[in-house]
Amino acid sequence: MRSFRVALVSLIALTTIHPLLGQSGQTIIVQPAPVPEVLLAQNTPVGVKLAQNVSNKTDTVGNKIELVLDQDITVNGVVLAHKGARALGRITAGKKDEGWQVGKSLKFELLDFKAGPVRVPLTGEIVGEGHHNTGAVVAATVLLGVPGLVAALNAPKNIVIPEGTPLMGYVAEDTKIPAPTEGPQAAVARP
Amino acid sequence: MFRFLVLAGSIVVILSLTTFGQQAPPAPGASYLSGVYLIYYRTPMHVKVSKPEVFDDAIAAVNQYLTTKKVVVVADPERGVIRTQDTMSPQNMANLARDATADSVLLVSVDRPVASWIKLTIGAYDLSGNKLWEESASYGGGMNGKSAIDTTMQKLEPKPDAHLAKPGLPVKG
Repeated sequence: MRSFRVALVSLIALTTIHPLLGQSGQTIIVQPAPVPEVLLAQNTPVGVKLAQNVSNKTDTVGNKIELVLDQDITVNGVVLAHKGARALGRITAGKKDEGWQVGKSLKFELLDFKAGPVRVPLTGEIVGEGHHNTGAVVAATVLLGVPGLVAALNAPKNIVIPEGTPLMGYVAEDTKIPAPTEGPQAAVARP
Repeated sequence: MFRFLVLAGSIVVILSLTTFGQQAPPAPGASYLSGVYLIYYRTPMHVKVSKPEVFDDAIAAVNQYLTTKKVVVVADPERGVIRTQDTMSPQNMANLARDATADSVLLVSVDRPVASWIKLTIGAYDLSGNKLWEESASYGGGMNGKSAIDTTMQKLEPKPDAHLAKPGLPVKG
């Protein structure tokens, strides 16, 4: 009977002590130090360039397109995003449907770019114009997200905005970004 | 004596339970299984002449092959798997792969040449943008293209098999 009592007490001690050990005996809870944040202000110009070709011959509305930053994004000497960081855009006017017919116009909007763990929203619409006579292509940014309608007086042929074309977008809204710390995770600028 | 045994047993149980569930941290420098970054490219000719459903079916067939062969595919963090109708330089493909922590790129091109119903090309690139290898197959027989994807895959599959478990086609295990 006495042995049973000892076993019972040991069992109670086990169930009581075990969670305590898990919390205070082995794990030390450290409050993380607040990470300083840097404000990237709305309308800050952001230079990007195309990381792929874009064409009214193949691109339909809604297609995602790849871009990269064309310059470091720096605020008060702090580099928030390095040249070569990924940015995304989306076709807003292009090829209508499947088949031979090319799109009458070619437009895409800038969506965002990545600064550390944060996706910074971008604004800006890129309009490509193709001229029947010359085949020249002009890529122009319509400022601050106001949709611009560029009248295509000449019926466009193939419009191709080639990979590497520099473009300009703007930060769509004030965005707080954790200040990056120096270390092995730091991004490396790409060609 | 019995009481001592009970107490000793309880201590052993407590100690074993407190260490249960804790994993040993990975050894520094330990290698992790990486994979290949997948891009499906639809050529302008396929956009013009063929249908998007054919592109979807071709993707499904290649996916089936990769799954069967246990190829480790790394998903793009933003877009899952890239499906594009635009060309992109190998360097930019490699940059996307690097961001996704893949160690190579697999570019699957779906084409519709004049003399074939479909042509599938699988090309592997390293993270410097250098082409490692490329294999392709096409099918131009028959009165229509109904069996084109199946026939093309039958012709294509033995070729990339030779590259399994090598850069471009990393496999599990």
